[in-house]
Order: sequence, then structure tokens, then C-alpha cells
Amino acid sequence: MSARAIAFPPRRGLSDRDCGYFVLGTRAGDLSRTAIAATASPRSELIEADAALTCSVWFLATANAMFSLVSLPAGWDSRSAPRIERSMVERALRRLAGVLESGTTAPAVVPTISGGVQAEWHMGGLNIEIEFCPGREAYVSLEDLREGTEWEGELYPNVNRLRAYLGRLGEV
Amino acid sequence: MPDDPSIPDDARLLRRVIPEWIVADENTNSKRVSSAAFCNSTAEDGTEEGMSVFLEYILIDDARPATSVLVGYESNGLIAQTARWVRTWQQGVVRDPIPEEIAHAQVMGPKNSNTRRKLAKIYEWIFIP
Repeated sequence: MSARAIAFPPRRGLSDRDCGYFVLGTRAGDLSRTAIAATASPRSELIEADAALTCSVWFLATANAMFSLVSLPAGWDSRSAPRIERSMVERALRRLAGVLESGTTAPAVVPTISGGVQAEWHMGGLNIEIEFCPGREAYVSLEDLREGTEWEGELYPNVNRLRAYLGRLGEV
Repeated sequence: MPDDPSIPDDARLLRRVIPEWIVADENTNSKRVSSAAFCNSTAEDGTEEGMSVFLEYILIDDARPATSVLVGYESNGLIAQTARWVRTWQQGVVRDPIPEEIAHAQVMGPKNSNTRRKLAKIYEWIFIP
């Protein structure tokens, strides 16, 4: 069992009191400290992350799903797909932490044939996919089934555009 | 892009789908195949190949059910698309018989994120694991 530190950006506007989460050795509102949470991945990884993140709705479920993909062997597609590296998963989690809100529903996570991971939501009248591939900027695509519109592009310049839709993911 | 015109537009292409590519769709209350599944493969020497599929009409000629391509891959799902649909998105279909499966074929052509999502819009489930 090993602890892997992930340097997530500090989250503003949250406190460990708001999250109902107690972290040994920290003071109320001290978000610069980290929490350690165990994942349910086959290697039982320990993830060290910002305390606010570990109590967000999406983080642990997503980290579990992504780290479980790390155990896929090379050729997991029955062809020659490369293994998914831990660094790839950590980068994806880091990028998601900079985009998603604390209450955002956890995405489904799937492996990509290039050795990357893809987070996706199909709910609230939306189909959203964020693809994380080695050596490339994350790429987002969104389809709004209610409005009949869709768009796509690199994640970084479209973060605010994406955030405008995240609140809808929890709607029935 | 390579395309074999002798493969008719209404030919059904079967694709095995690993369980990791099957996700819940709460918009339709069903299971769906992630767009990540509609991708080209990479050969052992690193060269990109097409998307691996099986021609259903060859299986039928051989008096075999579509699910026969799941032997040895029992945890996988199986979907079908028409050659017409993949050709709509600038893809070609070529035969590629391999020792273990004479019905093997490939869907050729670049598959960026947009193309994968388009390809993923229409398919029929043959077997849901």
C-alpha cells in the first residue's frame, strides 16, 4: 500500500466544516492541508488529496474508477492497447479537480485505446465526455439533448462553458 | 481511404465491446457503448489498423450465430452497425480474414473524437453482458 500525493489546487469557498469532514491535525477552514483516503482499486492505493476534494461527491468514486483501470494489462482491448499509466490518471484527476464543483455527480470512466481515460456523463439531458490522452490537452465534447445542440474543443479554453452545464447533471 | 465496394451498404458489422466500455445512460435508462469503443486498433509493431469488426453475412453463410465471435470473450458485449452507417462518416470497410476468424474485417479511416461520437450514435445490441 502506498500513498500517492496529488497536488490539487486549493478549493475556495468550502471548509472542512461545511463538508462534515474531520482531518486530524487541521483547523476548521484550513484547506491547505491534505487528507488521505484509501481507494478500492486492486492495489488498494492511498490517495493524498486536498481535504475538500476527498469529501466532494465525485472525487473518490472517480479516483477509484480511474485507478482500477491502471491494473488493466497491456493489450486489454484484445489487440495492442498500452497500459494506462498512474501518471495519466493523476493528471486526469488534477484537471477534473480544476473544473468540477464539489457537488458534481461522479462520471463514468472508461479506458481509451491510446492509454488514456475518458470521463463521461449521460444524464440531465446531456451527454458530456472529457478525454484525457497521453501527450495531448484534455478534450471535451458536449451534446445538449434538450436544445439539440453540441460543441467540442480543448478543455482549457472551454472550462467556463462546460461549468454552465454541470448543474444540470443532477436533474432527472 | 480503403473501402471494399463488394461489401454492401446493408451488411451488418459486429463489434465486440469490452465491459469497461459499457456505461449507464440515465437519459435513456439503458446501457450504452462509450464513444471510446469506436476506435482504431494498434498492431504489435505500432502501426495503426482499422476498427476490428466481423461481417455478419459471412457468419450466416457459415451457419454460425453472430454470438459465435464471443467464444473466448464471454465477458464482452456485442453490437451491430451497418456498413452504410460507418461509411456516412468517411469510413471504409475492408475484409481482413485472420486465422481464428474468417469473418474478420476492419473499418478504416481516421477516428477523431467527433467521428467516434458520431459512430457511437447508432448501433444495435446483439448481446449485453
